[in-house]
Amino acid sequence: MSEQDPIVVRCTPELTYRYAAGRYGSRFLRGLKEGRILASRCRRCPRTLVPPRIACTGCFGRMEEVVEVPPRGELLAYTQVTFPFLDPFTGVKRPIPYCYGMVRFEGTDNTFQYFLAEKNPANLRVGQRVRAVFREERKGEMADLVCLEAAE
Amino acid sequence: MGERVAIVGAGQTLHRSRRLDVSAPELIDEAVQAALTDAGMGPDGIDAIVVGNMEHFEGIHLSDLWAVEGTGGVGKPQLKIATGGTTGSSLSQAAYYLVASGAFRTVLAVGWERLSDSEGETTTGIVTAFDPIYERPTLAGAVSGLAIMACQYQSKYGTRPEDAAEVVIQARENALRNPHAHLRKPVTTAEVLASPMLSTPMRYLDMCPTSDGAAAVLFTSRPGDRSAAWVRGVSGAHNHVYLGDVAEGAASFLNTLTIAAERAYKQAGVTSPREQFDVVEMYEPCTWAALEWAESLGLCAKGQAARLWGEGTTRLDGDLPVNPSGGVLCTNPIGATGLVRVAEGSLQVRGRAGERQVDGARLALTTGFGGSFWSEVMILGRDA
Amino acid sequence: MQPVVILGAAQTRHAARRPEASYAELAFEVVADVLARTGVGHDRIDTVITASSDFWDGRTISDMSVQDAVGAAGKSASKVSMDGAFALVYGAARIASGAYRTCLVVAHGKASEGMPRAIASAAFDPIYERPLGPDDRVALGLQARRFLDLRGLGEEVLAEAAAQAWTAAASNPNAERREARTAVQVSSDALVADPLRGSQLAPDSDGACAILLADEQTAAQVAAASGREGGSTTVRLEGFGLSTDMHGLGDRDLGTAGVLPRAARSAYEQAGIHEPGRELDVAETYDASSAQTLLWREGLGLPPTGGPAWNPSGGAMGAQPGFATGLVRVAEVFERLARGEGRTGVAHGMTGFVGQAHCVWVLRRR
Repeated sequence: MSEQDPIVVRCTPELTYRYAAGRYGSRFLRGLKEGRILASRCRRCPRTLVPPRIACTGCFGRMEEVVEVPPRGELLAYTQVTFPFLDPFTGVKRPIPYCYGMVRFEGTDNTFQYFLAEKNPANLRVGQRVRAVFREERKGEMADLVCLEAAE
Repeated sequence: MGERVAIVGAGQTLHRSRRLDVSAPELIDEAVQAALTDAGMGPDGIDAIVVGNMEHFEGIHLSDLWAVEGTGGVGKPQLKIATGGTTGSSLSQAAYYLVASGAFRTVLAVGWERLSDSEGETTTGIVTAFDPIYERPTLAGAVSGLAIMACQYQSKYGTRPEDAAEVVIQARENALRNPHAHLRKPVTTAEVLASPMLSTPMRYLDMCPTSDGAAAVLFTSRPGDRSAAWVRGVSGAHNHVYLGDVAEGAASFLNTLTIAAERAYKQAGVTSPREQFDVVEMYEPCTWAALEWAESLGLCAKGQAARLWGEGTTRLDGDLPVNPSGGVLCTNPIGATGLVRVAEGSLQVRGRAGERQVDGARLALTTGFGGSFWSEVMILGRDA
Repeated sequence: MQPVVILGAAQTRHAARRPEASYAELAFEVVADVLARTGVGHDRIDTVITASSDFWDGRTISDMSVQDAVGAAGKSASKVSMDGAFALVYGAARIASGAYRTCLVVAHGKASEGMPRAIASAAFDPIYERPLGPDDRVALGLQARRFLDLRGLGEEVLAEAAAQAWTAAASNPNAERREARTAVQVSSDALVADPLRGSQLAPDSDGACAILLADEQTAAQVAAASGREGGSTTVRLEGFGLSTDMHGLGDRDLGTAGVLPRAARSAYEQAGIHEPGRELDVAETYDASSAQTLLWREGLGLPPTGGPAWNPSGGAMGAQPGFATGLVRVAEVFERLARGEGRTGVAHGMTGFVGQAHCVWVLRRR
């Protein structure tokens, strides 16, 4: 280090969090364990949303019902991620490339963002049908839903 | 109704990829002193401060209080605003309301960020802005979130990557005239299309950089005989929690910008934005966003934005110059970025924008973007 | 700034852990409650200001998780990244500007999801202070010791102040600590940061608070629509003060109330209060330790004994739900005045270690 170089001090505080999935999120994750996709429904609006949550996006009122929706839907947008970055969950670089997209499950009014089985974006198109793929041994966590694959 | 509010001073640092020559308070001070000099005012003229920064990027909790010597906030009222990408525009709005309410006469808005403190892992910080259970596993920060938007835009209108590239080509040309800008090197269509793919269809040169920098803007209800940019319209529109809720049935991805713009246009008496605005400083985090945002702002019909850039309307000498500063595509110190838009808009209508001045600019449109696609708008005029 | 009316307030039952509720669910709880209490629908909320901490929530842009729960989508909303009492300044200013008729101010904090001590440590200077391993409690200990030394007081004054807070909190259904304790009991706890013992420090809590503000005209309409008599029970925000101190602990005299008197002076001046000890009926302060209970009392210009009802809720010593803590103080003073228990009150919020930034509100029932 020369006399002119600025001095930089490295600091890496380690913080752990325990995020509460909440009442609605806990039901969604337990649904995944059973191989089911659950949504919350507001009868006033009416509106059905995945993942289930307490406040309706239409009227901000309480979403009273949690219902099962078909594990298939339409791909409304997608991307293939090809740049390296540190995954805040694992602390190491996230494996690339991978594709994910926004899927509207049948009977729902919003989209859900998740991994796609397809590795090549050239084979993806907006409007294509996809279905949920669950893993064999499920534990009630997001990873129970492996990905969404082409359904046609 | 409340007090009329004017901007009488704006200052910025030299924005660079790394400002290791200064500490954070020193960086902030650079912008604050520039704003005070611009206004011909001393620190005693400041009644309160609103400061903004996204503290996860620096890893310093309560960063506003840690860096208080930079803002000059010791002994004064100071509020911290932190809303992600919109932080800078949120600061301008907070300063506006604090003055308009009569709570304070003169409020200094200060935004800053040192993205170099994250050691190149800005995306990691942005990923943590999203839901830990449902969104973080898939999301690759602003890059992939915006790539999803670009995918939808492209599939709807058949826009070509070279059309989007035109946005950054013009931005880089403009940045050559702006000494504060971070990226000041021209690029060609071939270079944009050959730059590394980050997240389809978004390439490296389609995306904004990460910068170190600060901006400071002085809002007052008592401009006296100072050169003033009057706040003519202020509005914002937030969005839903999850990115999957955002495009739900909306006519465009950035529906919030349309909502916010319509409200602000009404306040400012703007009925045909394309004709009435002399200059636009928009928060365009990527080339594709500039196209979608221009349409959401009603500057052209849906799907027609590529023509605005292609035909040169948006150039510095065009009919409606967009981002004469070089925009976010050339400079992005996150907590300051939105405030830089307001600072630039105010300099334009005050006729103090130097080499990037739009001749005779009287009415400027500035925007902020952030979070789950939410928007803020401030309209500035030479006339009260 | 013109006075702004508080239409209503709501808070959660604060607890050490609320593992069943997400941030959104916690915020929804108080928003639904304040709307039900006031009879105001979501469609009448013009704008929303929230207060939360990115570090506490483990989430950059911490307001994103509560956007629908607070009904912000489509509306102009913003977030103050400080204690909720400070967010109330922005909310009130939005109304006083004439741009909005109503504003919902919501703050949340969940200590149980993160690591409060490690997060606090991340607020110290990374070069000069962090190597010493400080956290919020270390700073509170330094402050308490300096306070005692400067005044020549013994540790029993801390115990007495803590016992008073524990006893008050015992009858507050929303408090986390609900067990009356004597000065002897709170003196027998283990030392956490000399001279402070565990029960002389505010707990780390989960909770949320919402306050609904309106302009005079809207408040009258809401009162008329609800069939309640308008006016006589109306509580207004009549004055506020903010002040900020230096960051470094060595740059301040920790044994004094620091810049709090400056904020108090501004709030009292706006509300036309000349003798706070005589004119105020109730005071609620954000006291993170029992030394602060005594310091802030002095900083607010109140006599050591007598004067207004002092932290009748138990104050922050009863529950400390992060950035909601100061807003809860405002809610407590509001509830008391709205019930007719006194006419004028002061509420205090704080951000940063040992009172680096203070916010003081004067509320008055007309």
